[in-house]
Amino acid sequence: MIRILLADDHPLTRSGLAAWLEKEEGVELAALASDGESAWQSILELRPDLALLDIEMPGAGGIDIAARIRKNGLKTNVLMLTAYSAHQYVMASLRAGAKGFILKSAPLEELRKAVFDTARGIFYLDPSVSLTGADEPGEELSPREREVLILAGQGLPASEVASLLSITERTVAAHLTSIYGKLGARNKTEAILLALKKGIVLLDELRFLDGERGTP
Amino acid sequence: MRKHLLLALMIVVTLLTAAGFLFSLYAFRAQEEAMDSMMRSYVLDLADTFSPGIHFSGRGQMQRQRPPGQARFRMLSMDPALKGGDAGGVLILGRDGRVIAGSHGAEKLLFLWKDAVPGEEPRKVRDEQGNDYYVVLRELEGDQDRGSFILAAVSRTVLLAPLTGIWRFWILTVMATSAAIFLGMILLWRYLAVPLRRIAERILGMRWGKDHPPVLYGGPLYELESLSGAIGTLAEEAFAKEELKKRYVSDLVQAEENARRHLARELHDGPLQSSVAAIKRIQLAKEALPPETGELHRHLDTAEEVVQTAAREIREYCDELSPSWIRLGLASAMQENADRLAGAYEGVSVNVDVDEDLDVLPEERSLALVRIFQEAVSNSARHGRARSVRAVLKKEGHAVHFSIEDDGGGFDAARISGAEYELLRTTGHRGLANMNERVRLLGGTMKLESSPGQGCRIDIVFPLAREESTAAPE
Repeated sequence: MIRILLADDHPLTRSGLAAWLEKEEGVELAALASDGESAWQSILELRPDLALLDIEMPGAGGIDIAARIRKNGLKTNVLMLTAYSAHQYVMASLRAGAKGFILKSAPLEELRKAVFDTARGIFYLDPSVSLTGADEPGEELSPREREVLILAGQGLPASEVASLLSITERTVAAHLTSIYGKLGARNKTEAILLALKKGIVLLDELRFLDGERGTP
Repeated sequence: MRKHLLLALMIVVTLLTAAGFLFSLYAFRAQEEAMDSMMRSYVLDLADTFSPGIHFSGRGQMQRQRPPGQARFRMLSMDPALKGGDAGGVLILGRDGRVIAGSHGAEKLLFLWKDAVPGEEPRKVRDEQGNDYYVVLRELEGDQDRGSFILAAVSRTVLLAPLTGIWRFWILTVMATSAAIFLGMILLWRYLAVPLRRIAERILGMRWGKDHPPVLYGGPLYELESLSGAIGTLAEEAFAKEELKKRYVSDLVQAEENARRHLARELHDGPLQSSVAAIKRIQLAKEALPPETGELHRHLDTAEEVVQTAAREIREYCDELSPSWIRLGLASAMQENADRLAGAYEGVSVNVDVDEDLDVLPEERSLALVRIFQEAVSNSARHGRARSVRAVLKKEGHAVHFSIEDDGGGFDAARISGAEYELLRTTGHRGLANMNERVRLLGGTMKLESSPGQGCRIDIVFPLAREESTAAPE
């Protein structure tokens, strides 16, 4: 049984999702919250297996809560919910420690898959977060390219990636271009998300340095 | 030529004055000479009149016998101008300097005797009072007069006093007038022409409406002061008007941005959430339906699709109006922006590199940068047909450097950045004018570099607010 906390400030959406969660087998709706702070309190008290968090809530948003969960070393996995699709929301969520990202309007089957995957710690990304090269098999990345992609995925600007790897910015740009080509991505974010989807890069690899950078 | 007309006029006047002055000097000298020769002939005449010697030599024996009494008589009837002796006179002196005869009051002239040298030419002698005398001393040649002298003298100073006074006054007047005109010219140049030129230069150098007017004039002339005051007032008014216009434009930009944000939030919190809730309910309803209700299921599918479409459209509107991802911080927002722009302009790769220190920028300023970048990419893609646009946002000290580069066709930037951005707005370059406006609102400057075939580079620099430059990134 997966114990779930649902936090969404919009009552209609919240009750709709709650209605589904209550009906769904294998899950238990442990708590409902309408803002970030009360969600955080419930997480601390109930230690749910999964927190379904709306990105945009008054006060602390879903990304803040996800970051707090990671910082406090809680076992609760996070699935980010949003009415709004933006790659950077996905990236910010993943960097904050969320295991998955799903649109509120997603079909129930996708929602079900997302909930069960992320509760077990498996990375999940909403298929409607548009990625051009998602279905193509793609080429293998070289180890150097993987490094570049991981560092870029941690949100480092090209100049920092270059200095960390002791190469020039021009070389970083060249590596990225080659990565885009191999993955079929149009930009850095897509490349990272596609690499995540294909398992070329693991979610935790994106977070490792990010966490260190947070506490210099 | 016209530039130096005033100077030329002043030089002409000065030269004419100098010429007048020199001519007066010449006339004075000529007059001096004329008076000198007049006095000389006068004193010679006087000596001739009383000199018996002339008569001996000139008119024969008859005159030689004339006794001194006759001379005495002649002396009495001498030129009335000489009466009293101050103006001159005639003395007949013995060899030992004894006065034999003399005109009235001529004893006063006796002191001239010791310096006098016999001769035909008059000599000029000055007494202790500074009076000038023309003196002639002749030796008498008659038998009984032998060894005697006749001394004739006239005082130039006394005789010509009125004339000399007039001349002296004249020359002084001429000199004073010349000096006054000369001084006047210098003053005119120094206090009027030069300040006028300076005022004109400063007015020409002024960026009308852009700068506060400089101090135009600090001199003593009331007229120039009021003139420069009037110009200063005009310039201040132009400045104020320009400021008002700018403020009006920034108000417009800000009001528009606020309205957009408000509308986006309303759409996001209202219709979008309701659509999402409706979708969830439809999905739940579909799940709850028994499998055999085919027609009802199809209706629900259609309904879900319709609401999904509505939700997607609302999301797009929100994004266009005021992107919510701006709250993720500048680095993420610029990346999202770049991704979306790359999606919107087929075949254009858009890359951004943002210093994460800049995440401290408030949403308003981040949004301005996002809009500037949107405008720039749109220009590069549509006008420049660029294949790649690259932007770098860096924090350098207390300023932010934002450079945008493309590999497009480029254009003649000198032609555009030379013109006022306000002008661009009216000539179809609205995008650039808008960008410039937003940069200005950030308190920064924008520089455009491009030439045909060389792509385009935009450099924007704006200062960080104090709290932005001191805040440490999270």
